[in-house]
Amino acid sequence: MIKSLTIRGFKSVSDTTTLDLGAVNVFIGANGSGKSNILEALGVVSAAAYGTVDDEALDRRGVRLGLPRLYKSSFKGHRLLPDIYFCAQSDAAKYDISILNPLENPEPAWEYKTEGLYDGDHAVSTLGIRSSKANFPRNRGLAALKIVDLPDDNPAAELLRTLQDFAIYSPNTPTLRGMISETQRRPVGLTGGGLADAVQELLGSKDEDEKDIYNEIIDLLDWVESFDTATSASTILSPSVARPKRVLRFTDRYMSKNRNVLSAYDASEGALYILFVALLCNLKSGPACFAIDNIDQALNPRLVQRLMQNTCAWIVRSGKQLLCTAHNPIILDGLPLGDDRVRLFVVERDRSGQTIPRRVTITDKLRTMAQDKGWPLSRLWVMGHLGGVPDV
Amino acid sequence: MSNYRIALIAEGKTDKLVIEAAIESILGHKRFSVTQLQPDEGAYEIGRGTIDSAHRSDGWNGVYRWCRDTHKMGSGSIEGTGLEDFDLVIVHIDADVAGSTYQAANIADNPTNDLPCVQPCPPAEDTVDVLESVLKTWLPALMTTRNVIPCIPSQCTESWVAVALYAHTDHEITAGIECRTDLADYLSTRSGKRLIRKHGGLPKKEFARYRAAQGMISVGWGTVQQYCPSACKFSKSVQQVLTA
Repeated sequence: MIKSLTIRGFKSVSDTTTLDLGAVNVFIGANGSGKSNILEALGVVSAAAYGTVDDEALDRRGVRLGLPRLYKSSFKGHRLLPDIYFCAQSDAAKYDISILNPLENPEPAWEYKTEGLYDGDHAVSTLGIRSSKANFPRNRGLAALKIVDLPDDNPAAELLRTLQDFAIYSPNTPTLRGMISETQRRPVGLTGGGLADAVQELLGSKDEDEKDIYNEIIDLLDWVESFDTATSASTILSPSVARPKRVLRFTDRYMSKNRNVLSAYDASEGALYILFVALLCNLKSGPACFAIDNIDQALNPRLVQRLMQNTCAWIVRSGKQLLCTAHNPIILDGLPLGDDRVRLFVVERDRSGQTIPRRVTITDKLRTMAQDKGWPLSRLWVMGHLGGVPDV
Repeated sequence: MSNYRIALIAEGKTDKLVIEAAIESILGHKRFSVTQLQPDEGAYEIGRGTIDSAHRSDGWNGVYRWCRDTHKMGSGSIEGTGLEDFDLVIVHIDADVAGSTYQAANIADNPTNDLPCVQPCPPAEDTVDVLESVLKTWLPALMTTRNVIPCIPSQCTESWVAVALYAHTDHEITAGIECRTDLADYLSTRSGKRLIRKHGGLPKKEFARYRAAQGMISVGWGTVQQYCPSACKFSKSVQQVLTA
């Protein structure tokens, strides 16, 4: 698990900023406060850990593509730093990089100014401008090659693999419905493509934990009697609708038999978002660490509260790590923040515009306020008492 | 570098811009962020709001409602309100509130009925002092907390704006500035920046122009303090909390 992430000079995170992460990390803040920039910072580290920071590698991880002048922090009155620095640490390993690309005539791939992978105090791989590896391409990472020689359970190798697999997911309804195809990732695409295949993976799983997920999903979908997938969809889809090879089917428990099967195209979008989150959190084929931007979209407040509670339990059970952004205040009231593995961060911009993430610590007094006096975190957040609200 | 976290409950959005500009000048190069507080809108007039009354958090009655909400919440302490993580909490009302009544602001739950409380002006400070006492009854425990301070420009923030922007070209504006009640008219007739325009005979504050003028207000803050005791008092309060 990634225990901390340090960012310097990336987009709106200008000064050196370190986040101490838990298993579930929820970022709230005003629109434009820089929440997604934090997720994207980890996306850039992921690409670097894989060995190349170029548009293709960034795009595959859900990072919005941009020119160096947009990636490098550039605030009024501040000196523009030539490089962007990141550091990700687990309990026993560290990976840090600083990358370069000129503002004028940028190269397709960023250069590695420095790269270091450490197993405790031992340097597994180091790369620097003045290093002796003169023939090694400047736009390639060395750590990705070095871990081939390490045992699977080596902490540095584990950290690098976790970073390599990281991606930012931003589901959208047309893709979840199967109307738009996208480059496939396992278990689902970054915007929700291939949901039916992922559901089939769950249904065919022999893993006992994964078998439980089916019931836990059904429990969240009050109108659904069952769900499965089919390869022939002619009875439930209009011939005019473009379809993928496999389609998702929901059985509506209120409708008459033989007329109660809906495809993803017709089903409630909320059900699709629930499935998407549940599959990502639970399927072992998915990344060990991932992010979901706007985890609360398209969901009823009570449903999103339950989903977040389930998500926390799923993540802890599967041993994965989640970073997500949210806007619905009701989420805060459902988060088990008494558990140190679940962390809430408020993201704000200071007067100069720099993004400052801050962990919200729940004191006994705040807990009493919520439980005994009817002042839950959702109300405090909207009133501004937790910060992270727009000036409107 | 540390970042001061400042919470502000203000009558209106342009007041917030002016106060931010003042803080910018007071703190110099120190980093800070300002979070705008507002009352718990859901707690009022559920299902009875109209389009005209949609922005219930605006105006001094919004400040009053936030104070009462927070007072009920805190039960005599800042702890448990979520505000304890802020370095500074600023409660703003204009001194011209002293001429209002609770009834006029549709406030029926005030136990003291201590408005209006206008004192002869000059000196402007007398009204400011009495209004500060009124503010303490709205938020009794918190207003005595060290890092919660009042901000009461006299008669309104536009006096600070007028001095910051025009004192160097219009020396007459500074005379008795804190007792003047015609500053909306004054700002609406100034060519160039025109922070306020008249619409249907009523003054309308131009938010974008206030925002654009923040830098000039900040630069002119020294002059504002020279002519406006309320600005001087506010600066000292901020400094006492943040530099103590």
